[in-house]
Amino acid sequence: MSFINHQPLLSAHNVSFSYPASKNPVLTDISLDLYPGEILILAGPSGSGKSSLLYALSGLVPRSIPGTIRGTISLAGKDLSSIPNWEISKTLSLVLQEPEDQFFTMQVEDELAFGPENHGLQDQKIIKRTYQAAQSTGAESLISRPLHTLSEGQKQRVAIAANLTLKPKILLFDEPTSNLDEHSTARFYELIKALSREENRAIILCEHRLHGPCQYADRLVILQDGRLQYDGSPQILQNSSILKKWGLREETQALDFGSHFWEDRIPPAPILSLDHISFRFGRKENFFFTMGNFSAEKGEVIALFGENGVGKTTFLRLLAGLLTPTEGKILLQGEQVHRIPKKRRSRIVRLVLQNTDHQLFMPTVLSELTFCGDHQKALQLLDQFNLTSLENRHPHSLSVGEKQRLTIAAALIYDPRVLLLDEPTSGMDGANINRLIQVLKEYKKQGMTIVIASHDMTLIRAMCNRGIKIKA
Amino acid sequence: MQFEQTANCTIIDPRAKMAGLILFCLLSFFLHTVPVLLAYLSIPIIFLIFLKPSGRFFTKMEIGAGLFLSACILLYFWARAQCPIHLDGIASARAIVRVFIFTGSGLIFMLTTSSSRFILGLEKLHLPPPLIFVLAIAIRFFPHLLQEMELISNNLQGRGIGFYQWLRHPVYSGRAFIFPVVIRAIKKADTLAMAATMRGFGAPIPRTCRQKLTISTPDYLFLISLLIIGLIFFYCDRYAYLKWGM
Repeated sequence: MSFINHQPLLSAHNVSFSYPASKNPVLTDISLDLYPGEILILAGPSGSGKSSLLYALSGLVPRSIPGTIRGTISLAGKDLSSIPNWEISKTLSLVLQEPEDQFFTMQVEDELAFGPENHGLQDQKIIKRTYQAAQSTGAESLISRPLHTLSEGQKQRVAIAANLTLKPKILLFDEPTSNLDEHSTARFYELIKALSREENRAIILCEHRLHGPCQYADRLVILQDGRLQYDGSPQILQNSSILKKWGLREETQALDFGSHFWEDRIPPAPILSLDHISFRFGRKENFFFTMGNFSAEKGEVIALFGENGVGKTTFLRLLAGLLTPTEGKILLQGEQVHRIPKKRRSRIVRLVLQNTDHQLFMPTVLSELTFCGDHQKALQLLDQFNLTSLENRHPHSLSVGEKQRLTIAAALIYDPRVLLLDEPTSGMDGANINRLIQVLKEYKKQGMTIVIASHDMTLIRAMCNRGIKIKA
Repeated sequence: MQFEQTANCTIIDPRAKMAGLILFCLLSFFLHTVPVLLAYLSIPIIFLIFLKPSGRFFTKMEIGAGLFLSACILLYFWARAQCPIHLDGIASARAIVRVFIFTGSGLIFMLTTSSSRFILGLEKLHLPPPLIFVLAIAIRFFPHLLQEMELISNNLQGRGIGFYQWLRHPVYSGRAFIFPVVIRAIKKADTLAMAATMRGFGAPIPRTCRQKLTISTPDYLFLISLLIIGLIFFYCDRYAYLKWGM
């Protein structure tokens, strides 16, 4: 589709941006035009400035996010810096990475009505827009539900619907599929295509997983070190050397669930085993988890699959002894895992959860590793994970991908017998996924048992001997 | 593991609830005997038991609050047993019970008020928009913060920092806990503020609301019953003071 005959809706000209504490600019001389009806994919390795560019294009910098911005951004022909935020929200919406973080109310209906209420629309108009937005996103059935009862995919839909109620001409998404399973991701892209067609909306998707969205995209923009490296057709991604050059994720086909890979097998000398366990969160909660049998032997890498909300994280927490099964036993080296004293258990089995912010406790990257571990080993791990240059940085100032590598390194410093990883690559680029695979393969050779809950087929194909699919 | 609102109480107007909260807290300053204050505290506690937000961290907080309250009662009896009576001890016990009263009633307010109705209530009180913005984020943010604290505490345990490490190295363990809590709190508040800005919050036009707020009979009944309860406690307090002292 050709867009050049149209006036650009959003236009950036020689935009450079730097955060107050940073010496180097995070964006340098970015020029970009976005046309009505266009779907643009914004890609690049971790820390390349994708999110910062979205914040700049949405007018959040420097008003909500402090920093120095140069160059001009115009929205529908007007200088963005001269338009107040509330007026920008009529034309442009930004959907942030974590849907839950942006919810302002407790009920889906209230959340959808929040934007129109802020704009002082009349009751009938608010109700009409609320239902229209819910219909466009397939969230009609959720409208009367409390937000905390929704799955990740459903929350994502509500977050989009909440932004659609203002009828924006431009929608910006910051890594919208990083927490979604394959099925929800496919539905999400279908929705994006429909939203683009619906009112000739322009859409920018900032993504790590590129092959899904690129089937629907009109244009691909690649950033590296804050500079625009490529602006053109997404067809370029068919060349794998290009992906490697820019550190992007490679395409991996979905796995065949009927193949030998998925054959159920009971290892002769399992390090970790369970037999018919069940678990329930308190008496009030509806969530109920059951599992038949499962065992893992030394040096095995097992993949854990399932749609969002089926209980993969709960299962990992049970394996780590952080939760106690309501029925049944989980044995780690012959002992019930939740009965092993915490200090000893923390050295045998390590769990790395998806949200890294909850797992970083110290003021520097190095001290995060030396917190409970050996200094030499810490330096070695920093080198293995390419974090040496960041050893004096505050862990919370790192990018998502860097934090993920650091939390995995912090788990490996204990040399655990069992390592449990929950979506370890959701914020990583292609180069870092390959690095992680290499490191984990070394530990696998040394006999470490690894269980990985992930939607990332590159990681699973490269690492896992067996897979378990958890069903709802 | 949810700390979201357990009851969306729409019967009472948020303005009446705010007035009730202030009234309830102010009345505690007219009560001077610790046993009567403890009885007064039982009102929010009963409400909280009825609302009972689930979550392990909440349970831990309940245990902590129970222990602290028990220590406060022991302090009171110890102060009374001294000859002459240890007035500072009694004053401290009284202050601690009042803090519990404020916290408990504030918690009830947060657990039973939806953000939209709260914002609308504040607007009807003609409060300045920046203050409304801060208060609205705070009420939305509080349940999230508790959830974050539970997750961080669990992860810290996973790194081997359990109860005994807290006892042996309180500063080190405390710092390891506080760091991520503060950072998550700032990040979460920032994201929420950004998301609200991107959806037109703070626009210089009168905000509308699908739900209508009107002070009606249940609100007056609520405030009058609170006042009556306060007066009963005030009378009991006078009686107890004359009969048994502080």
